[in-house]
Amino acid sequence: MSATPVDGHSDEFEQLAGLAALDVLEGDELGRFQRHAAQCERCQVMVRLDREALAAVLLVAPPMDPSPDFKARLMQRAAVELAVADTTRRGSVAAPPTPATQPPGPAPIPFRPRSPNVIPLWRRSPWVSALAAILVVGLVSFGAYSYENQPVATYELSGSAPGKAMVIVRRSGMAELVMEGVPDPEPGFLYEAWIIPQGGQPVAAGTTNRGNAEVPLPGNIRGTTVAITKERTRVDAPTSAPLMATVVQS
Amino acid sequence: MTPLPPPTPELAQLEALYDAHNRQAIGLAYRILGDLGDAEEVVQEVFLSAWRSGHTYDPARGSTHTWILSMVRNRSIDVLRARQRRPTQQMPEGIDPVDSSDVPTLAVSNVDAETARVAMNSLPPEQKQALELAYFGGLSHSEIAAQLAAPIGTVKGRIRLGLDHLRAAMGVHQDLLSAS
Repeated sequence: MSATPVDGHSDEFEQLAGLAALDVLEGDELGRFQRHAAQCERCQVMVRLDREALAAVLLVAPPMDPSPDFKARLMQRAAVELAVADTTRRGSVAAPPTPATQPPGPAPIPFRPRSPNVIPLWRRSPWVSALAAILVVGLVSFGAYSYENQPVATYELSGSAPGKAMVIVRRSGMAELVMEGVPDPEPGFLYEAWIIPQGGQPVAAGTTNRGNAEVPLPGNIRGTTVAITKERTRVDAPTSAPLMATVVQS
Repeated sequence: MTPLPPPTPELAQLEALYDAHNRQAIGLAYRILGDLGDAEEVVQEVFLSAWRSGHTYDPARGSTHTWILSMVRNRSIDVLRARQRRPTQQMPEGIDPVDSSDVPTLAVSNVDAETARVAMNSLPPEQKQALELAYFGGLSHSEIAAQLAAPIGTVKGRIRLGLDHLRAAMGVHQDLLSAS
């Protein structure tokens, strides 16, 4: 059995069939072939068989190893998607959340602008007579604070959003999410951060309407996934897939 | 890097898909894009897309391997064209396009890698070159003609002859087109 060409079929259309199979047909020729192929069984079969042969050509490229961490990054993104999807699904069938049904965890903390963390010493006391003592206390406190404030680990978030976001874990155990160079969300949208415990549901960690921001992450985030989604308003469960995410080491 | 916990059943599907096809997928994307970072970005999106839409996959309509690699090729070409700021051409109506997103539409191909390699290497060099520029380079026939300093008609002819040669070498249902 062979495919029948329509009246007016020519070698030229068979050439165009090859270009169509390669997805490189363009301009007037595209329309001309389109009209012809709609009636011509031979051209339709030819495109299909050309594509089948070309599909085998895909196998010709030599296999290659990806970067060592590529698989982990892929699985990380998938794990976050699953967690978010699971929460979204549950949220869509459940009654509106009440305090009793909300996932356990600390209340969301709003993002704050990036600013120095040190409280100026002059605010501690206006008394000149106490200045020396306060200076000593202040310096000691500052030293201890600086030590405790040292970053001990950073985890860069990966995902589809441009810019950079990372989780910084400090010696004290406190952590923060820092976003740099991420485009500001469109008007009417904001970014929301999430902490996703292993096997648990995402807990809202704060929102911002800017692409350069810093948010303290509440509680112990070790072993959790930290993710960012874009939302229309602050929500208790994500309504969209994460733009960026990372797993924080236990 | 944090050791990941044992995967859930859903993640295990992705892991199995990845383990079976990642090296060929990376190799293909790298062959087209020439940059490992870009190649990994494309392949990551393809695996996630395949994993998300796995329930729509019909094994009777194409091998998983070919399905994955077709998506890798299409997305890689999209990236190439975006670099060149050239829009993707729309496919003719009435002819099933190769879907680059989620639903496989390829016919089952029984051709293995070695047969495909032998078939490609058996092409006359000018036909092989024209096909590779179109298939792996995403170039149109007019762009190929400009690059090779050859008439457009010549390029069209080389592509047609190359495809005929490939089909014959691979034994792809030649009977359907044998009498015209």
